[in-house]
Amino acid sequence: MTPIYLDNAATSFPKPHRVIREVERCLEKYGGNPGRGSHVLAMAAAEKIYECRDAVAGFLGLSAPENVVFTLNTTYALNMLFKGLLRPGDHVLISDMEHNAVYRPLCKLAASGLISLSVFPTFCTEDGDTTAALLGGIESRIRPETRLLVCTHASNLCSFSLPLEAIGTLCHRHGLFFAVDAAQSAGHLPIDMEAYGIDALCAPGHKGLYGIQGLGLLALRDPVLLDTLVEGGSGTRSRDTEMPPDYPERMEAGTLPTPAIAGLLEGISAVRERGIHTIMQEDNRQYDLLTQALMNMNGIRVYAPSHKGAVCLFNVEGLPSEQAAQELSACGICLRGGLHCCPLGHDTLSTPESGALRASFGMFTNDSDIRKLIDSLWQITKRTGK
Amino acid sequence: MKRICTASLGSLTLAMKARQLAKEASFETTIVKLDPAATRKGCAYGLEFPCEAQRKISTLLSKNKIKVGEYFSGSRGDLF
Repeated sequence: MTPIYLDNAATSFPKPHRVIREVERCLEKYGGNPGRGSHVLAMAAAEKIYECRDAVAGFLGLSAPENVVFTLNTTYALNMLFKGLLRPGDHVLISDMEHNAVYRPLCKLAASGLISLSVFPTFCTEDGDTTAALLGGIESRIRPETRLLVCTHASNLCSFSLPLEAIGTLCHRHGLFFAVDAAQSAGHLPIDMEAYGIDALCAPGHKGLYGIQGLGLLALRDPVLLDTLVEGGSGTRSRDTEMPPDYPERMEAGTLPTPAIAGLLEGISAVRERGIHTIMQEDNRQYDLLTQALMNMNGIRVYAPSHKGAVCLFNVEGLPSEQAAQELSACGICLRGGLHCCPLGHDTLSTPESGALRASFGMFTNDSDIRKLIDSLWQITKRTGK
Repeated sequence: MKRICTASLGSLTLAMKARQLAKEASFETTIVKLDPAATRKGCAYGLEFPCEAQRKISTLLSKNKIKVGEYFSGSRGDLF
């Protein structure tokens, strides 16, 4: 039995064939170390990396490919940003739906006394447009020492997304640096860093952009000089004891994962060919298909159901989420229970102590996958007597 | 024979961007790795082009905020 994969919010699977083929081609044909030599294989790898930077910049609404820094993953990119940007005494604002990739590094900086941290409410459990309330909540928490506002674009728990353009406008009115965690939205929702006023954006290569694991990115609207988190070889200015000032090499100590970057380039092409609006429409349609069935099923609770998108959070009443996930796994369905590394968001959504079940869609999710999930949940609820 | 000039640039990425901009402006350029002894900080990439285009290349790079470390006359050779 081929497993049904509904855990695309963790990592997309399967990958487009063109991604797999390009990773293989890289390993077979152009496996030199980019930016370290001038021989033909090193230069071929570097050309591919530049092509990918350019594609990422275009995809995010930026014109400067050098402002795209490749990292190990989104968490690493966020850490690089926070620890490179923040100074003693700074105050930071985050939303009540942040993943631990945002929450933990900032909590550590706050616990060490370097910064202070405030959480603003998203009102994500309410229906309708809550933008005014959200902006009011941010504005009331801004202090003279507030330096940074960082928020997720789309939640990793449910399909709630934040109004980036409105938040960006507010941030710039108050002189705040605006950073976005696009771990769930890149490849699912339109992103335009220039138009939305986003100063920095962190995203994974292996989720909605269909690259392979081991690659994330930090994109900067302007090359603000961040302190470096890691130092080492950069291929340039080797006699200098400090990292070079120029982006992206300043932030890319050590060898880059050329095969993963080559794969990402193809992943972005696959997303572009399908079209971001088509992907959104398909996510929403599949969300409706699943959510409407779950809302009509006794013994199932759906969280924040009015927000449509690629992620649906729910519980089988009386069954801990991890146990339900195991039962679904036994039916051949791969989805995730627990807290999804987002305890802050679970508190906001008032899920039980054991968290909830999350089904998340991707480019290869089809309606029969969703029907199989619905049928399996129906069997489980029948058995548990709900 | 055309004289070749080289602009040293802060990174390989900037060298590639410079080459792309030059190409869009109809200048044929080549990326080269420079002799570490020829630059103050060691290990750098540069953009080679015919010296007669230097003024235009220089304007193009500065318009696009690409900082040139040094200009060399000759290929990877003597500092101006």
